[in-house]
Order: sequence, then C-alpha cells, then structure tokens
Amino acid sequence: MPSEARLAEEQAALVAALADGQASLPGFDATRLRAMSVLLRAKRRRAVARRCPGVAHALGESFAASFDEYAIGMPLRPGQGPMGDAGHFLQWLRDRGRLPRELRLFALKLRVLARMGFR
Amino acid sequence: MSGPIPPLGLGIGWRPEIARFIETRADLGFVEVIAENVSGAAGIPPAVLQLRERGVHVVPHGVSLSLGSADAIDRGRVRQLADLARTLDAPLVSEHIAFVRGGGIEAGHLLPVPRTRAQLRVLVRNIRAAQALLPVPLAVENVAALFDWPNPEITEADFLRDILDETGALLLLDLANVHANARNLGSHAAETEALPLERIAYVHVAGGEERDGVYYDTHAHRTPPQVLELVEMLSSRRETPGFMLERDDHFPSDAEMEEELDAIVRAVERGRAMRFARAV
Repeated sequence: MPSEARLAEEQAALVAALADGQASLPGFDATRLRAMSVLLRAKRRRAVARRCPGVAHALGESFAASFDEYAIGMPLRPGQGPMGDAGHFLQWLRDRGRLPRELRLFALKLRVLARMGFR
Repeated sequence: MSGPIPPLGLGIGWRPEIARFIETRADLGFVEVIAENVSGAAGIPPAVLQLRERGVHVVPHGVSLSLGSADAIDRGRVRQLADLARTLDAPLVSEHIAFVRGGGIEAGHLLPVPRTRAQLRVLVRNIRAAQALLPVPLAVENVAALFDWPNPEITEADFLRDILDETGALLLLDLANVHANARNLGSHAAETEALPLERIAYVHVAGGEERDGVYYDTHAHRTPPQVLELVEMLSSRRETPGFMLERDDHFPSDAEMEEELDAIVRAVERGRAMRFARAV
C-alpha cells in the first residue's frame, strides 16, 4: 500500500477511536487517548452550550450526560459547527421522546439557521 | 513566499467576550482572529474592523485546513482564508501542523501528526497547495498533544525545520504547547533552542492547568511561570517579531487581563536586557 494511503487509514483510525468512546488503538497510550477522547467531547459540549445556552439551560443537570450519550453515537461531520451539532442533538432527543417542550420551537429555528449557512 | 516578517509587537487573540478590553489596550500591534469564526455568514465583527482602521494588524488564524491530512486539503477553505487576508489587509495568515478530520469524521480539535517521512511529504504537499492560493505568507504552528504517535522517525526540531525549509513557510511558535508537550510527553523545553527560531513570525503564549498529572493547554487559566520563562529565554536568544496571548474561556477581569499581557511584556524585556548585556 502506498505510504500516503496507509497514513490516511491510520489518521482515520485515530479519529474514529477518539470519537467512539472506547479510545483504544494499538501502539498508543490508552490512558492518554481516553483523556483526549473525554476532552474532545467536553469541548464539543461547551461549544454547543456557548452557542445555544438555552439548550443547556432547558436540560439542566441532564445536559452533560445526555450530550455525551448523543456525541458517542454521532461523531461530528466535516463542516458541522456547534449550531449544526446542537440541531442534531435536539433531533436525537426528539427521536427518543426526550426533547423538552420549551426547545421545540428552538429546534425548528436551528434548522432554518443551518440552511442559511450559520455553523 | 516569505517576504520580510513585519514587526507585530504585542498581540492578543480577539474574542467577542474581551472585545471591549482589547479596544482599550493602546499598545497592541496586532490581534489574531479565528478565521472560521469570522468567515461566511457570521462575517467580520465591526470591532475588528475598527481595530484595523486604527492601524492594528489583524492576522487570520485557521483551525480547520487540516494541513496534516493525508487526504488532499479543501481548496474552498483555503480560498476563504485568502479572502479574509485580502479583506483585512493581513501581513500573514497562520494554521497548524496538525490534522482535524479523517474517514469522514471531524475530530473537533487539532490532533498531532506522526513524525514520519510519509507524514512530512504530506505536510509539504498540503502547505505548498495552500501557499499557491494565499496572497500573503503562511506561518505554521506546533500543537500541544496529550499523546504521541508510536515509532517516530524524526525529532520534533528536525521535523519542523524540514517542513519550513521545504515550503518556505514561517513558524508560529506556541510556547504554551512546547511547555505542555514537555510536561506530557517528556520532551525537554531545552529542545526549544534546537527549533528553527530564525523562522518565527510570532509567538503564542497561553495558560493551562494540571489535572491528574496531565497538563491541559486550556487557554482558560493564567499563563504559568514556566511558559513566561520560555518567553524570556526566547527573547534572550533573538529579537522576535511578535508575542501574543491566547485566552479562550473563563475570561477574567480587565485588571487580570492587563496583568497577563504585562507579564508577557516584562518577560520579553527581561530576555532582551540579557541579550543586550551579552552583546556589550
């Protein structure tokens, strides 16, 4: 395999390992990878809470755990910013019947803003 | 690609939360804006344009080009950075020696690259492709890492030097990242002296915190004394075009922000005094 194709595979494997919550990859320090994985989710969660404070507020104490549960199953896609992430999170909550009533209108607004190009 | 490096002086990362503070600080030579945050629908904040009118340089700092990606870089993202540089009449733009996505997943953070020959070729290819579309010089930054890739083939200093030599890119040296990697990966801050210091466009300084024996480069805490010592050491070696503070979260009072900037200025001056004393 050409070295660049192998590098692409290794990079993809690392990104996937950090995203999936297991954070285990041969040759890498497992403790540090887990720390990085936790850090990535916390950063993603903070970005959503900062861009859409109403979401964190409405969910209260369950925000962090709910968001992490969502984030592990739904990695970020290229070009997706905190607003898009918040939109997918609300959709994920709605699919599970866990979307607070006061966020229904906001979920709609996020979809409109996403179409207008807000990240 | 690399013309003369403009003297930038003291700078700070522009963030909306500290816009008012930045406006009042009279001795700023430059601010850095996160390119992705002021491109597209969001646009450039009026406060940044006002600083530019006042003569403060604005340096667009990209975080999503993924120059280290084995996949080709996205030319659309480079063009966006180029447009921003033109609009802001920027002296240069900067990005990272890192990758941020792979296999269709966005990591959401700058990830370290393996120090291998294959990775070096990829970085050189991507940096050259970006430079071809940019109207101004590009500086590339060393990143902080919590972990290393297995089986490195090249030392950190040689890896950086090879990238800069083969592309003509400038170095954005992040001293907080040097400190973080020294703490977390066991690299020695003394290795800083082996870095291609003559290629520095400007320097990042930031705070962090230690938790469970790991140093986190949070940009949300005070700059630790060890990072200021690196500022002083660098300044004692050579005149550096610019130093700037990065603060991204837990924004303190204006007085503490002043003190953070003043601490950098004092460290630069202490280093400079040592250099002059040696020269006499």
